Amino acid sequence: MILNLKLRLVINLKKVFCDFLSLLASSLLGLCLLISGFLIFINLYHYDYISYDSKINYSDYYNVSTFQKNIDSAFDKVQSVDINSVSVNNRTVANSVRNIIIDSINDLKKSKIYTSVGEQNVDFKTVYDYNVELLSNYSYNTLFYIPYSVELQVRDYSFAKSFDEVSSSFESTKSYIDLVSNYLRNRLLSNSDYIYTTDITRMTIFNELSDSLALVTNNYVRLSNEILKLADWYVSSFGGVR
Amino acid sequence: MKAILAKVCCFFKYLLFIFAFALTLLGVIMTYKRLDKNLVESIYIFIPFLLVFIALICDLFIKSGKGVRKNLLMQLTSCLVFIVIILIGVRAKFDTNMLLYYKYGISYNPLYFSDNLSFILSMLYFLFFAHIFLFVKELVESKGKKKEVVNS
Repeated sequence: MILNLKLRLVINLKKVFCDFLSLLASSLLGLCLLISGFLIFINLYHYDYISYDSKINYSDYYNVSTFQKNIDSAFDKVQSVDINSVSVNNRTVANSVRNIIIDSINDLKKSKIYTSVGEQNVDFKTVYDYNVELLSNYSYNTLFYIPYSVELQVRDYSFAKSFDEVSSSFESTKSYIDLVSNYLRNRLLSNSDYIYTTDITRMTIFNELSDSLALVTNNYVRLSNEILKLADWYVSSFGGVR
Repeated sequence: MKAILAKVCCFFKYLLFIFAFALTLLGVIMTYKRLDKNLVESIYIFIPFLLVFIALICDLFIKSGKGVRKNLLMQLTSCLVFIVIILIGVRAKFDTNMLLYYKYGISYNPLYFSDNLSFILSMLYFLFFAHIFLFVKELVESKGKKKEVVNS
């Protein structure tokens, strides 16, 4: 009788132990299901969000067309100056400054944003490329190099004073563009993170792609405005049609 | 129906495990190569893989593994975990929309991979311990049944 009771107790204990193990295993599997379910859904949503692209007609896009118009206008203004009509004393400096400006304008004409015409698909990579090109190439080659090299050419002439204004304008634009471009680069690079898509305000009130594109194209417009200012200074200093 | 589904999942589980391991290995090699780190240091990443591998082998060859093989929840969860690991590995290698893919110049996104590594490892450990609990349960139950048969 006692033996039978003991046996039943052992069997019951074993049953409780087995149920406990089963419960533990199911809890762990539930946790696994929870994590994997979360990862699958967030990955699908994240993939969908960052692979988003939008069709943009560059000819109608205000910032891009303004940049292209400014560059063309600056080129025409510089070309309108007839070097032969410049006084002999200033002819050499006029020629070398003109070459510096024309070289940088030609460099800007090779930029991805200048060569973009018609309707195209724009995605995060396109915006990132525009931004990297501006930051690594034009920020130095145009905004730093031009005032520095023009200043070297004109420092012994009377128009050096008038160039100071243009030079300081270049400097402030460079620092603004560097700041915004660095912010934008870091923002775009963080798109591998799920946080990029879980920011509620960004999901609801504005489109990340169009916002980034507007920022980067606005920087290009600021750059072209500086080139236009430089062309105006060149024309007013060496003569020609303004 | 349940048994058939468990069998199908059980078959795919082994296949998915191989792919999941291969993609994780690729991720570790790419990441460590970029940092010039010794691969031996990555051993902690492969310990849970090894443990799960041992558990999967035990599933096949140990008698008490039969009960685990029939457990549909276990089979479905295992498949889902390996699918998630494959998804993460594939995205780190092929998702060119993530801009960090270009940043390091290795055609791989090591940051995305390492961000998800902790999830991968914890899921594998959970899976291994769930296996162990079910093994022990099956073992205890089978011994209990044997004793009952002897006593009767």
